[in-house]
Amino acid sequence: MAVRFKNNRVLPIIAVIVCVVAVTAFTLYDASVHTREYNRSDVVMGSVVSLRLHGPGGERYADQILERLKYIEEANLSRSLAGADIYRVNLSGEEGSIVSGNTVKWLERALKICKDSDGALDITLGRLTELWDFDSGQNLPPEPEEIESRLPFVGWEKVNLKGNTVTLSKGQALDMGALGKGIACDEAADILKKYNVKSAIISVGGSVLLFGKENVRVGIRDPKGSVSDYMGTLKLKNKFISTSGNYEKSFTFDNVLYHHLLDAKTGYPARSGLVSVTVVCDSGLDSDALSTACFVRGIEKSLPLLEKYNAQAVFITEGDKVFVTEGLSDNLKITNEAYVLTSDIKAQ
Amino acid sequence: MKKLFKKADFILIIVCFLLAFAFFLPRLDRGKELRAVITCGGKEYRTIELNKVEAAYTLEPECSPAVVIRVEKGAIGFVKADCPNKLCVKSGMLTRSGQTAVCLPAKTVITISGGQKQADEPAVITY
Repeated sequence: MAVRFKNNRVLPIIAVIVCVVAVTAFTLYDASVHTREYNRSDVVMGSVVSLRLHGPGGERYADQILERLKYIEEANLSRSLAGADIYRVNLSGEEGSIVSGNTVKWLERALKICKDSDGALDITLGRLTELWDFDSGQNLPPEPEEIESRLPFVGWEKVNLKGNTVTLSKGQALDMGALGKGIACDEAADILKKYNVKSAIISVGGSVLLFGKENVRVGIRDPKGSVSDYMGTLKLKNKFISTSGNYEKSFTFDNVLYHHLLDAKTGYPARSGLVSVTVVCDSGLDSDALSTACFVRGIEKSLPLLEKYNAQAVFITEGDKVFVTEGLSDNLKITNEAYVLTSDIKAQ
Repeated sequence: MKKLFKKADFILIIVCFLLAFAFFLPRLDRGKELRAVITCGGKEYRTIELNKVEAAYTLEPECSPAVVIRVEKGAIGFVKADCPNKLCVKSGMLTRSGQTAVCLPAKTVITISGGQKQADEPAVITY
């Protein structure tokens, strides 16, 4: 038998309690949905960095990540800031320069990808990238003789890494542009892990880190559209995603498109029949470096390289064909009908 | 036998529910407003509810090189920049959630958030 309160007013009391619980639940839900998502944008390493962090303390962790990225630019990766390892290596050239442990680690991994990609990735393109200078806005290709004269300074195999000392061959200059954004994503992931952040989406100049257990849709930029247009989406979690496309840092001269993805063998923008390559894997450095290497190599030659690094990719060809590696085919959804899936590795 | 519920109890319950919803409802809409955030050098410069803009106007944040941002009802974008390649101006006017325009030399970023999102819309774009 039910316990009887004075005046038999059990139900109303319960109802009032339910109401109080409802108010609390609404408020908590609201707090979890809105105030626990922290968004921030900044410009670091010459790129737009966007951070979206979920869970408490977002602002503090975003600060830490941005500080860390500024630090690795100033201390390690920059070619133009006097305190950076790469700046000093380029200045010392043949005489050699002592660099920090992190720079050694990143150079070792970069040189391995240079080797495995047969030079499709080459971190010694410095003299050529300064000649092309895609950031200048001049929009003029260099003279063929000028390009020719700088080709002898290119060659990753001439970089000597012994202990903490990096020595270059005469006239050589390192350029870490093809993997800096990926390294930045790796560093961001380390900070998120350290502080047990629940989930986050971080983009460093279009190289993306998805951190956390929930699936997230990542748009692949539409090569023919503007910066905010996408041609399809990839549903992924806990991955690093990088894209190399010929629409970035490019100009048209005499009806020819010149873009920043240079082929170390010719000194000219790579022509592999591709307009963009998106690489997905478990390392930011790898995804960034591999996207460049795969763009230069084309679909067919990229497949064994991707396999070696346990990476997946989406290739978009000049003819709007989309080739996706097996491990990603279920994750890809093409949203722009101008693009058509193909299974032909020779597609153009 | 006394009634289990009295009229006053019903009123009390209804008032409680109304209070709970009154507290919550305005917040349901939060995040659905199309909002542009402008940051300069990592610091927030302005946040603008784009659909509440009545007359178009321009903003000139203090940054170098100088940029001019135009704000209209439902749209925002760079219209002038003193940088070499003018990529920010080429981004055009932004109207949808998730769109971004950037002037790298001036370290100025415009990002649009909120608005009604489509189910398939990506959270981030790789480029």
